[in-house]
Formats: sequence, C-alpha cells, structure tokens
Amino acid sequence: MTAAGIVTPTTELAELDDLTLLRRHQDGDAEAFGEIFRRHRDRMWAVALRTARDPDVAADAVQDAFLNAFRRAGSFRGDAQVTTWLHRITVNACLDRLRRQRPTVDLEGHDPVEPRDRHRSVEVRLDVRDALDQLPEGQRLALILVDMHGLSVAEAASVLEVAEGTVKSRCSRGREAMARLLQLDTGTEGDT
Amino acid sequence: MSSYPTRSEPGDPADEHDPTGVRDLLSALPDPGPMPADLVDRIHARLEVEREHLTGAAATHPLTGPADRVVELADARARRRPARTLGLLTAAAAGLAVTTVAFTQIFGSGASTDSGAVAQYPSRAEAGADEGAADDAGGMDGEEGSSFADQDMAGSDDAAEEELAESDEAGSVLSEQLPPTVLPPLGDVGADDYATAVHDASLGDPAAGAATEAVPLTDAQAAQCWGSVDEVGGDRTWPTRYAATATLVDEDEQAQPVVVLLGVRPGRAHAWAVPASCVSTQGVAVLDPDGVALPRP
Repeated sequence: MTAAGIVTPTTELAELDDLTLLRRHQDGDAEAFGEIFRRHRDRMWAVALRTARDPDVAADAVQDAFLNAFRRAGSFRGDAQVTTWLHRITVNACLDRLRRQRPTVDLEGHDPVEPRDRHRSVEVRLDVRDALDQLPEGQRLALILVDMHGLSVAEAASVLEVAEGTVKSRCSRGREAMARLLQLDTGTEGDT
Repeated sequence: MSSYPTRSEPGDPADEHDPTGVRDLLSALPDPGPMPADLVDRIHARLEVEREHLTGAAATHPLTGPADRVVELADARARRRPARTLGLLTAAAAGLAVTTVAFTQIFGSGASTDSGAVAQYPSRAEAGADEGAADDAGGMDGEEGSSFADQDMAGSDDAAEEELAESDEAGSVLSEQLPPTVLPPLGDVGADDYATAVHDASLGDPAAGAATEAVPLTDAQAAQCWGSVDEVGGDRTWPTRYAATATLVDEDEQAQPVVVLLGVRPGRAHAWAVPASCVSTQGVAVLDPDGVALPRP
C-alpha cells in the first residue's frame, strides 16, 4: 500500500497495470495518475478529436476528461477496464461540449441518413471522413469506437452506456448509410 | 501496460455483419497522431494544480489554498482579452456617462445644481475629470448644463422614471466591478436543484456547502466565471453576485465539476452553472444559458 505523499518511481509505475495505478492515485501516490495520463493521453486525444471534430473543442474536452478522471477516480468501481472508463469520460466530455455548442444535436441517432437521397449521393462523392460526419451522432460514435478505435461491441456499449444490441444496430445502420453516401457497391442499396 | 487493438478481434460480432466494406475503410483512416505538446503541458499543469490542491487542502483554508494558482491559457487569453477588456471599458464608460447625466437631471433643477450634483460623485468618473475640474473652479459648463435642462428637465414623470432606471442600471454596472462573494463548495448537485442549493448557501443555510469534495474558488476565479454569464448575454446588472463550486451529477450519474453562479437583487435571483474550467479559461460556455430564476425574499 502506498501511503499518501509517497511517490513511486516512474520506472516502477510503468510496470503497473491501469487499475493498480488508479488505486495508488486514490491512495495518494502523487505520480500514479501522471502515468495513467502518459499512457492514455494519445488515445484519448484521438477519441476526442474524432468525436468532437474540432481541435479546440477536443483539447478542452480531453482536459476536462482527465481532470474529471483525476477527481473522480474513487467512483471507478472496477467492473470495467480503466481504458473503457476513460473512453466513457472522454466521449461524455466531448458530448457535453458539443451540446453546449449545438444544443439540438441528435444524440440518439435513431434517424438514418436519408436513404433515398439519390441527388446528394450522385452529385457529391464524399470521402470517408466526410461521410462519417454525416451520420447521426449515435451511429457515428459507435463506428468511431468499434471500427476506428477497435473497441469490442461490449466495450463500446459500456462507453456509450447503451445495450450491446444497440451498438450493433448503430454500427450496421451507420455502415450502410456510409456505403450509400460513398456509393459503394455493397448490394445493400435500399435496405434499411 | 495497456495496449490498444487497432480493430476488433476476429470473430467479434461486429465483424460478422459488414458486407459494406466501410469497416475496413474506417480502420484504415490515419491516426490523428499524438496529443500536441502544448496540450500535454497544459493538462500536466492543470493536474499539478489539482494534486497540490488535494495535498494541501487539509492544511489550508478552502478559499485561500493552492487553488489560487490558475493555469494560464495564454493563447486563448491573448485572443480574447483585448476585445473583452475593450468591451468592459466601453460598458463602464457608458455607465459612468449615464450615471452622471441621470444624477444631474434627477437632483438638479438648474444649472448651478447640476454642477453640484456632478461634483458629489467625482470618484466615479475618471473620464469626467474635465467636468469635475470645471465644477471645482466654479465655472459651470453652460453648454452642457443648459442642454440637459432644455431637453429633459421639463420632461414628464415617465421620462424621470426612465432616467431613474438608467441610473439604476448604470450603478449596477459599476457595482459589477466588485468581486462576487465566494460560497463554500456545494458538493454534488443535480440539474434541477443546483439553483436552490446555491440560493440556500447564499442565505447561510448551514446544510448547504457542507461538502468539501468540490474545488474551492478564489475571488478572481469567481469573477472570471461570471464573465461567462456576461458573454452569453446574461443580465449584467445583478448588484449582488455569488459563486460556488459544485459537482453536477446528471441522471446517468455522470459527474461534472461546475461553478454555480447566483445573481441577486431585491425580489429576484437567478442561477447559472458553468463548467469548472471557467476558473482557468475565459469564455467557457454556460451549461444553461437561460439559467434558473428563483424568488428572493
């Protein structure tokens, strides 16, 4: 047990797993959270940037996220991975900031991109990133976490705090919508 | 050590239903790269402040502890401060002018009285030094004095009331320069009760502010957070203002550190919640721009 005020050498911290680091942070180890930050900052930055789609918003959000994690480490129950917890905090920080900027944003993502908008799909060939940006928030987040960041469906469901089936359906509908936007020949045209 | 997968493991159910090829396209998008060094430094510094605060909180008064150290976001402030400062100076100057005119018109019935009224408030108007000097010398500014008398002093009661209102507003703008009163941390609050919590704390409710988990504020931080309300068009004329840190817990048990602001005037009170980053960053968006109106005894 690390007593409050004791600093674990960095080399030793690097050998510890995330959960142990978080517990040491709770116990007052002054360097433990720094190792968590060092370990996950690039990942959370990528998640924030892809979620917020704006570097300034992402920067503020990822700062909010790590501060929140620092302060609320005691609320981590340990029934998920620390990385999943950090993903959730980061995504929520981004969504909080996006909501303030665009209070009416559709966060549920139940409305698919217009499936029969042939005019737009013919005349505008979007690149992958633009197509992703066209998706409803829920579908976009699911694809960012699962397809871009490699989280499992279960992890993404934990991050987004929805059922696994919801993540699956959002991924499926999101991919189909993107395929239409990108005019990919998938044989799914018209499917909903 | 943690390791991140580049994509889901084979056999993941999500892989089984992707006839579109979109999954491959998305996973092939380039990584955004490492967190920028300036952001790393910024977060490091902010975490250091948090850590110092935690380690020093028990030994120091909550309102004068290490939280006095504010991480300066130099770039953001460099962008925002000039316009903001100019705006505040402009508002203050306009307020001073209106105050001077209003007092002159309300309390004066003639030219000599006008100058006397103005002379009673010299400290409010550095910009009015010329007027004050003229008054001190006994030389009434005939042009201005007569102009005011001719235009307004013969006006109706309604006009006088309007001028009173302007005077009140101007005085309130001036009083805004006083720092807000910092209340003890409110602890965990909900979106539907943070206004009541801060209101109770402002009334000295001993049950309020009992929590110590939230980060306390300095006067400067409280004033900066009030700037967020100003920037969303909030009422700038609250003669009494309060601020308190809190942790806003939503219905999904997600917690967000915030600063809760309360403006008070006779018969009225209004509360807003601002993300706690307002203590170190100017222009942070208010969570609820409309705020919550409260009755005030």
